[in-house]
Amino acid sequence: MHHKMLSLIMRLCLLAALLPAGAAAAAPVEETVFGPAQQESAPERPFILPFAEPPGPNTWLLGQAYGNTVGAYFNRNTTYRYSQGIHFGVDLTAPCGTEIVAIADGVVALVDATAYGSLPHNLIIDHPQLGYATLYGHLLERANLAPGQEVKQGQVIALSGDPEDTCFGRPHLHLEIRDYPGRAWKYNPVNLIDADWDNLALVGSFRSGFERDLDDPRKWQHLDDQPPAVTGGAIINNFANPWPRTR
Amino acid sequence: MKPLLVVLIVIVLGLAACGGDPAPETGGAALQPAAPVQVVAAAAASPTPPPSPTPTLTPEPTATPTPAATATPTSTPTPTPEPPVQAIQLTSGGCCTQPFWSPDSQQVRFIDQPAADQPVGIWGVAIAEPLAAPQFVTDRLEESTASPRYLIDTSNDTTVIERRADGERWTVPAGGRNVFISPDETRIAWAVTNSDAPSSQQVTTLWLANLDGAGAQQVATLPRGGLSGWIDDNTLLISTRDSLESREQILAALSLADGARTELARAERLRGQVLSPSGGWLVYYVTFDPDPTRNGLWVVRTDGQQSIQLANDLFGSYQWQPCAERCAPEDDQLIIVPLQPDAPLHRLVELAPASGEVRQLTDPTVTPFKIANGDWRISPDGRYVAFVESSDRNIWVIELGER
Repeated sequence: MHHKMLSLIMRLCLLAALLPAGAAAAAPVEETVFGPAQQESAPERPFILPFAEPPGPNTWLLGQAYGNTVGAYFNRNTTYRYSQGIHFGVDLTAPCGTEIVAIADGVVALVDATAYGSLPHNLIIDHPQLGYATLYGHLLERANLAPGQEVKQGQVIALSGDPEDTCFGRPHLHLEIRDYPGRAWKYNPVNLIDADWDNLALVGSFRSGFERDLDDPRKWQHLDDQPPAVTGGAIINNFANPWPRTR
Repeated sequence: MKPLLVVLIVIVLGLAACGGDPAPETGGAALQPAAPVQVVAAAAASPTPPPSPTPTLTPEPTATPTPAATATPTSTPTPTPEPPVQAIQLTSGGCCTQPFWSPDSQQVRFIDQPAADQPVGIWGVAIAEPLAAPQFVTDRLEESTASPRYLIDTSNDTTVIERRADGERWTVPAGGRNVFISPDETRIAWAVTNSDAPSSQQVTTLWLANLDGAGAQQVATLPRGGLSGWIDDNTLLISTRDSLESREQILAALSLADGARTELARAERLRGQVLSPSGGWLVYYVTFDPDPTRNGLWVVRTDGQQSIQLANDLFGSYQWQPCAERCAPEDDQLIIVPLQPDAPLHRLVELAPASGEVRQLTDPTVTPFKIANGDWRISPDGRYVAFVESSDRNIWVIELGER
């Protein structure tokens, strides 16, 4: 699928989400003996993961997913207010100093652009051939790159850090995939990074999932079914009937 | 699914529901022997104080040393379970997420609105009737977060406890915070944190009261800490630090009888702590420690006498297998879905911490399944696992067998 088309579909999904709720269409039932057959239905995903090492307790792990997470919902009017109330990137926990690689070929656009948030250091790379830009946030130090410099997919471009700048508070990489050239829309990395996200989700005792809109209880409940968000847009998860109601 | 197979599955599950002897039985006796596991006892902890009939003292912190992290990692289980474990599709149409169980373990439930003209609420499908139309259970969503005998309602900045048996409700002075009910159901505990402050300045106070809310008193102050539950009727599991500036988080058993603390774990990044059903074990994981040998999944006795570190290929998503009744530490079992980055399918592994035995419950070549977004839940009787299948977004069930 062409990436521009994917982007258009994502925006149409957002529009559809604003329409009156309807029941989800039924899907055909699987035929299996002992377990569900596996299907390959993922769209084309041009990006790779931002770490060269495989995930694990010594390297990195999936933290907060993109989208209408329970955590984002309860901070929709504060931390996530300027991106329509959702977590507008994916958090990958990693020890400070972990090498971050470019997730696609691109051109360095901005280094330490404070207006984009994700401090203390960030890096933005444009991928005009794909129609996207990527932001790497909460870096340990200023990336040793200059605007206009070309980078290759898999090239080490920065070191992961901690938003509290302590390296023991909440060390993680905040990764965003935005539109190009506007860089105002943020998209779900799960749909654009070639990775096994259901494997990555196997961490710890409990995943709280996504906040539910009881007026449309199936909306935005899967890792890959999350809305895009635009900087400065109206909050999209001010649900009249949310669940859970309290943290 | 073929009609004959559906009939067979219904018969098997129906027998199981009636307490019969379904075939194939997937209980422990039918599986191959588990791989031996070495378990190393940790450093001796302070002796357990005698229980107090009126445990209302304000404890003074008297920390004891953390057990030395000297456990030997468990080996990876390899046996293929026989007979093969079946995964059974319960729902269709891509429905739904975050399944949970009816108290009798016979129905998988979820929040949904199957059609626009149907109510939003809790719906369920009986495991004896896979692919049957979901049945409406209730529009009262509090049930999805209920404890077995009580509901905790924390809406409107008020904490209300409701006894399921007779519907009686009463307010307790927890101010809309969740409360933990003691195993003997006579007391409640809760934590109050100045969460408006920066995380580096947050202090948690622990409070204790009778189940009816009377006699509330503060029992501890914890720098950047919290409350994780009751280990037994006189002991709380707490998280804390030596000071606000400390990099290391501590998990400890706090005796309400004399305020003594038994340190169970200490690390910079310590996450995912959950008590076993008996309260006799604690599972947690450590990541990104400066000493990489400390990273991974750990299971420790809550008396501080023993610790087990699992091999890193067993690191992943985990839940304790519930007991139908209050069980002993020897009965506790941890179910793990290992994180294997290159594995196309998932598998279930069981750890019995008392013996240190690890065994594989499912073989991906025989029981192919993949859990979406870590979304799985064990039934209250410990016999079944419900999960959202990645490939079709439906809820499936795996029978683990008799406990």
